[in-house]
Amino acid sequence: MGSGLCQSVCMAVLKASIDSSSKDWAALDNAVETTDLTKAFGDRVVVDKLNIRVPKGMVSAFVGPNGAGKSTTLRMLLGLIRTTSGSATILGGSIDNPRSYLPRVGSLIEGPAFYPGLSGWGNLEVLAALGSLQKSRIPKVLELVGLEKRSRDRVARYSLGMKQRLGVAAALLPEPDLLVLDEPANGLDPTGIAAMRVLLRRVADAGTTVLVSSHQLIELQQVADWVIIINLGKLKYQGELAALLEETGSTLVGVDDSKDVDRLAAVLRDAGYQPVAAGAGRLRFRVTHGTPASINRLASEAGLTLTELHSGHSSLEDIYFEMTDGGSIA
Amino acid sequence: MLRAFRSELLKVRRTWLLVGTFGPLLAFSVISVVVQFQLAYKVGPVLQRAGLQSREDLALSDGLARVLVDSAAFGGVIVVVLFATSYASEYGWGTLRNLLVRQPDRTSLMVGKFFGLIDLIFVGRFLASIFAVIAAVVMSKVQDIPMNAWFTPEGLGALAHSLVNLMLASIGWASLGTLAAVIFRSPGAAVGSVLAFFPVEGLVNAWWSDGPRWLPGQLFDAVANGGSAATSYGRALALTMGVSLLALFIGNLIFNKADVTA
Ligand SMILES: Nc1ncnc2c1ncn2[C@@H]1O[C@H](COP(=O)(O)OP(=O)(O)OP(=O)(O)O)[C@@H](O)[C@H]1O
Ligand SMILES: [Mg+2]
Repeated sequence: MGSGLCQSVCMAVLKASIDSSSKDWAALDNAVETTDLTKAFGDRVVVDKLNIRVPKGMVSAFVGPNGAGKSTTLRMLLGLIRTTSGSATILGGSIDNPRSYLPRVGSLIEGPAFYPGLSGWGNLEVLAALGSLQKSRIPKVLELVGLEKRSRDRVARYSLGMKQRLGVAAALLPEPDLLVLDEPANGLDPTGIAAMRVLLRRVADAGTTVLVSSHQLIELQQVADWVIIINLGKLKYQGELAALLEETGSTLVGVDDSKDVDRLAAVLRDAGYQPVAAGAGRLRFRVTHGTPASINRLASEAGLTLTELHSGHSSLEDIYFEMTDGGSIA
Repeated sequence: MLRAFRSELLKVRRTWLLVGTFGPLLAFSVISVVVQFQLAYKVGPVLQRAGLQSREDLALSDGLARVLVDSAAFGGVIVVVLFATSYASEYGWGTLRNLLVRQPDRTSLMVGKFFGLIDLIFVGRFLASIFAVIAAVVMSKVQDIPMNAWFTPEGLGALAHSLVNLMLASIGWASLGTLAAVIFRSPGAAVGSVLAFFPVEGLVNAWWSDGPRWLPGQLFDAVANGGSAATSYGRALALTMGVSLLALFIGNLIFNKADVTA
């Protein structure tokens, strides 16, 4: 009785919070906002009329399959490559004038890049001199990434993960308002990955906007507030991650026999459900109406025995597969 | 620009860069001095016309200056290779993307780096000259060639002038190296192209009678030598500066236009 009450109240509160936050998004200040941003290399359009936004002060996850155009988009935002068409505003400055915003941006794009003959410290010194940054930041950022003990070694002697850490340190050097990280967890050990997650959260909580592209969806799900999914250069989804996970709740059912999966899918489709993924003897579909019990009834009316039935929120991974055609059956 | 210059100075402290630049500069210049003195007794009018110094030439007040210029003959190769590798490595290592985020003004970055590297060359030339002078003094004792005229005001003036000319000629080579790097964007291709430049220019020069008046390498050498049979010093210097500015201008246009995908 008591728990039932809580459930309905809690649901109401949760729903209210989703609704209110969805209203807030429109009003959110954006650190990055693109309008029909496009990049073509020759005839090949790799970023296609992309309209994305990165809300200020949040951790935004930028995901999509290999070759989706993530790095290309990030390079355009950093003024490294020219846009073919479209526009963007970054920290209030126009993408056509990177000088207006880049001093407030820190970045790590497509792997760390350093002078192998200089030490980690020496490499950061070069960047500090170039950007007129405080040298006192160097020991601070080295400590943030846990590299302080090896900072005087030549980068040529660093392991992959150490270089990656140095790359993140370099990105943090200017105390950026916007931190752009492309695959920051590449090559990190489990401790390093966990530390990266904590670091991103801490940086964002201190007011820095973080835009991070990664294939580590499970990690991203734990730290991201906002998610942008692209495929083949086109936007597939953007929005608040919590709301997305909530909206796309799904149910997993299992049947005895792999052959029955197709029949079950047909039955559910007829009843207005949308199957989203299938595996050996298992089927995942979108819950739009009804209860687990009604689904069970549908199955038994069709002469199918369910061996498994779970309802729950999807993970970022589920949604990713669905939106990028990586796991869809349609 | 000043920021790019200062950050480049931090980079040139790399041990291997210093060894790789100063080592050959110093070694070539000392070996060349020794060889020049050893062979001087064999040099008659024919070899003199080919630019070699006889014992009498060496004893002149500008004898030391001549030795210095000849000892720097390989300098051009070292300079052009250094600039080609240094700019192209920024693409090869991918460090360019870091630099451009911290300094989006590409012209400033390119020019600041140029001054940082040319500084390294000036220091290298200066050190090589000191070594060349020491070697010359030792060799003049060994070969018994009088050197009193060298250290007169006239002799020292000629020496200083030669040193300045060598540095001016370096600017020409440096700009060609920079242009090659920006065009090819990879250290291997950039260095290959600048090394190919020498024999190609040599061939063209052999076929084209006006080559010594117009070919860049010939002009740079004329500047280093304080003029040549084909061109006056002033004309060579003006054209060298013109070629350098043009190369840097074109390099800068390409650098500003191109996408940085490295
Ligand atoms: N310089 C270039 N010239 C031509 N095509 C390019 C160039 N750079 C990238 N591309 C193409 O653009 C597309 C997007 O590449 P991009 O590196 O942006 O993908 P990504 O989303 O970062 O992928 P990944 O997850 O593998 O890092 C790819 O098809 C790639 O081949
Ligand atoms: Mg990428």
